[in-house]
Amino acid sequence: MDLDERLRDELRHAVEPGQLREDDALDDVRATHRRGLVRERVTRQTIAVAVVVSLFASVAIIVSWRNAPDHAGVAAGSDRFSSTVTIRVALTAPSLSTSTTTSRTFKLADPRTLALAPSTRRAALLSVQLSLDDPSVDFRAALNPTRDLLSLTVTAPSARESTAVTREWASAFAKAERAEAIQLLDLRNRALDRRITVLHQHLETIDAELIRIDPATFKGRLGFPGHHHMTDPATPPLHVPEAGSVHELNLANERIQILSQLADAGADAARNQISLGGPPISQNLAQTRAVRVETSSPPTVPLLVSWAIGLVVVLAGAFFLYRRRTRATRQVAE
Amino acid sequence: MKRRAESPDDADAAFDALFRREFGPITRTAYLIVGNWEVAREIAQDAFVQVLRHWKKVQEMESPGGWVRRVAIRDAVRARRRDARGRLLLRTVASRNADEPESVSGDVRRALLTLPRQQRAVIALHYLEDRPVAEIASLLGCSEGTVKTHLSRGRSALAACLREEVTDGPG
Repeated sequence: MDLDERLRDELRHAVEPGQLREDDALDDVRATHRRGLVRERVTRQTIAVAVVVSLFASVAIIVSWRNAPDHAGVAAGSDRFSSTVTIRVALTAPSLSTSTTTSRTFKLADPRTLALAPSTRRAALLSVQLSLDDPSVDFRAALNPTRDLLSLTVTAPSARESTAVTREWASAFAKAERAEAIQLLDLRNRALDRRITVLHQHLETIDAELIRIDPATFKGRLGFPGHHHMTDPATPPLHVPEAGSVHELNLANERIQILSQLADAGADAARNQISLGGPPISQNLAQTRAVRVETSSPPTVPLLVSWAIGLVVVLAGAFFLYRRRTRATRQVAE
Repeated sequence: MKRRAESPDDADAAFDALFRREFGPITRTAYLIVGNWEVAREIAQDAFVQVLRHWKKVQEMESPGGWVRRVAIRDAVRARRRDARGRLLLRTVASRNADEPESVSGDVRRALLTLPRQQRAVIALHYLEDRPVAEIASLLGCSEGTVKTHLSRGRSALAACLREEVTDGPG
């Protein structure tokens, strides 16, 4: 027996005892095929759902991004311009002078709060005929470390709008500040009137008591300039009698103090009147030209990029599954 | 001549006929290549699962049996993915196969397992299925010269193991 015949016999003999179990194998093949079909269908449906959900998510992201107030200008593809006006705000240190020829200084509210108040911003927008709810105009106010310079910055879609709104904002701020000062002065004048009235009433009471105690000394000599008891303006100043009683002396000294308080109140009233017609409380120093500002990438951009990468991965997975399914056929067909 | 199944029942019947005709020879050839009945059965079953998956195309081919044999033999020769699973299977079925009789005679089995898988496939197709060199080359996707080389080297190696003198070359 030569080698070829021996090999042929040996190999055929070798595979004879193999237990093929064809029926079981056929059942296994059909079961495996059914499982594969189910798996393919589930995979296909999952990919379809992922693509659809991804598309809906992308549309939602883009729509929300375009509607976001902070990104409206960016979404429209327009640039942003910024202009700043610098204002010297009112001094807050109290004046030490008591002269009636100097104006009174006021401690007003925080300039930033006043500038960013809705009424102030609305006044600026109305002045340039922009919508009160215009989301594309951004207002920012800042004080320097010494708190005497206020920077008002407006960012708008155009240079013209930015410049105009900034200018009008500064004007609206000055008006608001003056209105607040006038309101404060009015309150002070009312309080001063009440105080003067009380002092006058007290003075009349004291004068009546002094006349009652010592008519020889005080009758016809008491009163306040302009007061109806003052019969003769040229009357010499009243001296406190050295021989009077303690009560009489106390009343006379108290009268002198009331007269002094009335004189101070008059000086206050004069200063308030001067302040009403005085110079502006704040002063515009300079306004910059509108300059183009760099717009930072909105947070949705990374989200869109992530979504795009995810979509590409899903599509690549679908394509890979399709290629894998047809690979065997193509390889054999080569 | 292309064939086409006209109904699902006809398709099932055609597949069953193909399975019963080709499963045995393919499993035996795969066994000679991989050296394990369980792995060979798995390779053959997977090949038929591929047939079912692509049945519409396969049934239109001139030789569906050749297609499934080609898939199975290529899978057995490559068998990279199955090596790990095969080792696991060998461990898990070792006790089951321990009681079975030695399937291949000791000398031939040991000699065959020393050959590369490509040579095992050529030897199996040539001596077990009596395939000519041209058909073996078509099945393995290589040239006839390569098949002859593998056949010659495999035959020499087996002869050395069997201590027989190599006389005439096959093919």
